[in-house]
Amino acid sequence: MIIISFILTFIGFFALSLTMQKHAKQIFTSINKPRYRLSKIQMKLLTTTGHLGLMLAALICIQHSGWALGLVYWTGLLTIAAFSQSMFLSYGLNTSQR
Amino acid sequence: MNVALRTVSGFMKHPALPLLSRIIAAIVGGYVFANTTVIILSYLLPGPQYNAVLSGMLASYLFYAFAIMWVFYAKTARKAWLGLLVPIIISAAFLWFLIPQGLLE
Amino acid sequence: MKDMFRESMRWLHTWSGLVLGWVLFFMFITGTVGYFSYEIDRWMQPEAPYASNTSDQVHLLSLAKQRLDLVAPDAIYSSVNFPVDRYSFLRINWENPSNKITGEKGERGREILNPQTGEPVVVRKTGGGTLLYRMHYALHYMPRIVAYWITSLCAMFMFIALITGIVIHIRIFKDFFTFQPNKQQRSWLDMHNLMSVLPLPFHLMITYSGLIFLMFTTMPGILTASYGDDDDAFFDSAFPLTTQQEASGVYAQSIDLSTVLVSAQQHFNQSQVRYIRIQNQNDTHAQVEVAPRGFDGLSRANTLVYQGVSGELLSTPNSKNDQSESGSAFVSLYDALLNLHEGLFAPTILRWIYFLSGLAGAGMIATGMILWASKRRKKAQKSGQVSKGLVLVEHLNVGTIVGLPIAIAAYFWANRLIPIHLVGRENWEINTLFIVWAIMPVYSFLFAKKRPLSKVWAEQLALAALMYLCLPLLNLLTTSQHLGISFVQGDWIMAGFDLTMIVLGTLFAIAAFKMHRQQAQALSPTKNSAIKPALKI
Repeated sequence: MIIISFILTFIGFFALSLTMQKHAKQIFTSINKPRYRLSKIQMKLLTTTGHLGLMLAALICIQHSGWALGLVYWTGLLTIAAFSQSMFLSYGLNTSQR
Repeated sequence: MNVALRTVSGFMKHPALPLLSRIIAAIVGGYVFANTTVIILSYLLPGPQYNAVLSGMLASYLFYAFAIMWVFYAKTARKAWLGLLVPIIISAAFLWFLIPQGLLE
Repeated sequence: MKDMFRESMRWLHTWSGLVLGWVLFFMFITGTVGYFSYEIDRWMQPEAPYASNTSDQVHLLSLAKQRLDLVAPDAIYSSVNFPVDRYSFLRINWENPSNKITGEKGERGREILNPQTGEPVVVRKTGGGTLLYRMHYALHYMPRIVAYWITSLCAMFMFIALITGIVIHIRIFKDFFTFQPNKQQRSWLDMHNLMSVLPLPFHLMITYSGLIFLMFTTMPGILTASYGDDDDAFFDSAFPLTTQQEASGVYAQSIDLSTVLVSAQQHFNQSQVRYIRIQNQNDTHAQVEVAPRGFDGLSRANTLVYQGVSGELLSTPNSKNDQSESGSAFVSLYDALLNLHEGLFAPTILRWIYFLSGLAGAGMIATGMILWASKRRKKAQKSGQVSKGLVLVEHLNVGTIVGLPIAIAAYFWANRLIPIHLVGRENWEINTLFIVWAIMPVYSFLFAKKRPLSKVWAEQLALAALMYLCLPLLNLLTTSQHLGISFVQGDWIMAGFDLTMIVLGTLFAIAAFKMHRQQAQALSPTKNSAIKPALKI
């Protein structure tokens, strides 16, 4: 349960970070497409995916451990996933821009 | 005598004084503000008494925080004090004069 | 207008965070360590043999009962705590009857038993993890009430710093994931934001509930205004307890505890319970209470209470729940806040998330204070005047941010090195912590002129690494519960402690190495002491 929710939150945050210009640039640079721009539909799709991932993780946590404990789990996982996401963006990517 | 006067007036003009005054206003004044307002609140809230008291205690720290932020937002130290003292005096008067007369019971 | 608001809030944020920052850092670190207080208790009492989580409790109970009959045959109260979950001792507690003439309370006792033989184990005297955890609100070397006021004041400052922090951080979502390494001050700011924003729900919860924990000490006026001196009336109506029956004074043979245990195990559908205790033993009003493992949401699952003579079931696990439902929403809110703060309900992974969030809180304070110093250092370098206050803050920063972890390691070292039979050894353990903590900033301050600050950082980080990395080694040399044995036995609590120390030590070592390398680079161009973030977590 925890692993699945964690993966979901991580994917959610990844999608959301792609909709942020600064991080999108980081990511596209690392795959050698520095000039790539997302279309409006793509942006919308990513935002929806992102929020869906987070919500789905919440649902799974609550389903598994009840409202109180489930929400505690979810909040904790959000923190950890967001932190991993930010570390991934600054260290995990092959950024050869500088 | 003269020296004492001069030190006092010198102290009153010291640039750190308004800051000190604000800090006291925030910590002490804010505490009194939180207490008096919450006590009124705990008298006014409907429902069983213990419930009103408990909710008041839980909320008191929010009132305290609000007061502290007000003190440091106010333009001058005097205004900061004024903003605290007025509600404190009003609620204290409310408590001292009105409640013993049974207006709330 | 808006700018002025933000400006004043920025000022408030800076100073409310800095003034009591070191105490707050201490509170965050010791509180965070406290999430593993039972595990640390176990490590600090290595004489106790490993008690398997799966042993037959009826057998353990009979061993414990034998011992209780021997040491406290007349006890009015006795309890047996089983080694389950995070708790690794088979422990008995008892209280003898009070003196009938003087009315003095009867003697209390506790012993840890060997789960194989039932013999008492002589364990070293130690404050253990419990003391570490207790210090985060009761501090040390001072009366409890004074400490409560100090820690509450600190929590209030933290609360203000958090709220103002949210207000001034406009780019809260834009910078949600942002961390730019190797940019000195900018990196520190990024790290400060990350460690504040991402665990923000935790920070707000822990600070607010910390205030709530002590509210009956710090906000007594509100209670008095309604209840006068009759506090009990409030507590009775807000938090009704199942009243304990007084002893009748009439003798009656108490029921055999093992029958109760078996019945409770069936009732809970668990083969393991947490404890069994008996009140008013050998009296017509005897009561036996059995606690199950596990939690009901955030609070402990309810216990079962049996009549102690007939063995009749007096309360079912649901009866207390019904009560709290008819109680108010605020009582539930209060309970939920305290439960969230303590995090007792958290199973292993969630416990580690709690631990990491707590560390992030400490990191938030640490990075905040480093930022304060590095900003002022930059200005001072331009004007060429470095104030004494700045130097003091810089050294207190090192001496606390790295010095406190060193001091905690020293506490663990003291536990193994202070002779077991020394009188007052448990006091010397904790004295060691504070002495070492005091030495760290003093030492760095004394040699402030001779060496750049970054060198002090590197040195203290290296010392921390050494002290944590050597702890398992020390454990190997001084006890028979070292990694080689705890692994084989499956004693995960003991092994987990040692492994955690290795991980912590490694992290400190990496930080020390980074700091050293960066210092070597920075040595030539300027004597700039702004430091690159060495990832400490």
